Amino acid sequence: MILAIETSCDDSCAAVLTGTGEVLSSVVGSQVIHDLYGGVVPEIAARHHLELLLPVVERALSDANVELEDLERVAVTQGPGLVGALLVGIATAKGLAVGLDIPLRAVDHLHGHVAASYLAGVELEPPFLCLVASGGHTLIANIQEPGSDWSIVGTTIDDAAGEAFDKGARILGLGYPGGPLVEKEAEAGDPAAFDFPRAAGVPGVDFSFAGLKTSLLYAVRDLGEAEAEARRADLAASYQAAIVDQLVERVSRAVETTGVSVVAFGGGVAANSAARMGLTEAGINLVVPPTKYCTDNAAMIGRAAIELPDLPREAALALDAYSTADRSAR
Amino acid sequence: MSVLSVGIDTSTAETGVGVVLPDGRSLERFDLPQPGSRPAHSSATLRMLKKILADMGTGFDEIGRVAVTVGPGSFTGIRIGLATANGLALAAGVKAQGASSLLTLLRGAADLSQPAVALIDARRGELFVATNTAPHDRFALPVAEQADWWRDFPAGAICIGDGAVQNAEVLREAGFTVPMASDALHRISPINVCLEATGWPEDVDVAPEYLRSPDAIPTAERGL
Repeated sequence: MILAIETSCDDSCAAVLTGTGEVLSSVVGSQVIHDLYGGVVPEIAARHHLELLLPVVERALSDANVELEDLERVAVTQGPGLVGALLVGIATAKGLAVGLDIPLRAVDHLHGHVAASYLAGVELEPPFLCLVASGGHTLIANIQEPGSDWSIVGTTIDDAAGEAFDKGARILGLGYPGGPLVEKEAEAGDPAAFDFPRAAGVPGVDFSFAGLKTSLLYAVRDLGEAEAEARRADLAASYQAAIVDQLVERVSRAVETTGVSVVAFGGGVAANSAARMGLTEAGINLVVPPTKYCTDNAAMIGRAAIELPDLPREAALALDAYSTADRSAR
Repeated sequence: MSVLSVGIDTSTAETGVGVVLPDGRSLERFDLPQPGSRPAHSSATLRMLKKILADMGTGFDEIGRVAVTVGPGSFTGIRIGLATANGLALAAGVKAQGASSLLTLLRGAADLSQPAVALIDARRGELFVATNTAPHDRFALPVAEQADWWRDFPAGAICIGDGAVQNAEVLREAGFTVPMASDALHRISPINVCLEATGWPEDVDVAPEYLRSPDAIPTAERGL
């Protein structure tokens, strides 16, 4: 039995899994307070993890009908993410593991999103590609073997896709989180009404969303406040289409260049139905976990941990967090 | 104390860990980062605890009580300390107990006959302050904005804590006593954390003591 903890951004998450990866419970304590700030504020996230995490862990144990003494190990997200937020999860996990005298496993958050593919309820064996698109990350991973040994074949050179949704929503005055709000607004709009860029100048399977965000900003400015509000649905639909088209194009190129035909889709953007539909209509053999395992959750961290070794005791006691920038340098 | 108590302080750049055994024996250790280095709160706390427990001939499974400073002080350090304490306490089947870092500092000066002022570096030119003449009135003092920021301190007081060390020259010129930087009075004793935390209410989760609001401003208040 494994207890997993995930606190890399604004959700305080805990899950209990069996040693073979069956999810017995998965609890997410969401910090809705970030709506007030128009996005995730690291300082606020760190404050609230401390309040939420312990009750979330206790709830995960009780939902799974598991006692502390039933636990065989603890897994925790080490990074990448907001360091102040990660440290709350890491310190709690270390204290619990050492207090119970059980091993600790350190999990990379992106590995967790890849491992979420195994929670999709379908038989999935490597090789497969995994598109991870969230507020903090956008990349395509090539998974050749089970476990953590996978390669990144393409990644964003600036913003993440989920970040593009959040920033677009803010420009359109829709609020936070942007993904579901842009999607809802886009339902009544024409995706061809505005011709937003698809990062045509970025070769291969890398992504770029910074120019798209700027184009939306200019479009809104050029329309003027009243006209932009009147055409908000068209703007949202066109903006969403530009994001989706870029995801579809890069994934299609990745399938072509790697020869790997199955693509798993993880991260919060996988909850976007236009993105799923776009990939499916492009002929991609798509595997999508349930939405609860696409957005940040601890079940995926526990599932990833199953393929990892226990940390030596001294390394577990000294475990520290790493940020997105730290990960790039590793 | 009838059970093995652990005390943790991560509210300044130092990491302090202590253990008090049921028979009264106690041991505490400190980790002070080298100049220019980050505090080692995350990597040092549990390693220090393991060593102390081993040196005292006991282990993690004997822990019956966990006390921790709840601030004010280092924002990230306090989160690490509280989360570590929560994890240890959960494993021990108890709730962690909190102690104010300022009041724990003052406890270290309790045997002195003169009034005491505890000063903890709050960064950005501010100090967290408490006096033993009015211990419930704890506040953040914007040093940079006032030429005579010490004017409300009790006359003839001894000033302790890392904030006192940083401002030793001006405090001494103003007539206050500031012990040498190496004096133990400037340190938050983890053993004193165990004692100070006995006043923490039962069944109340530990939470940070904030003396400042978050820097972030809600969108509506920014007029965006």
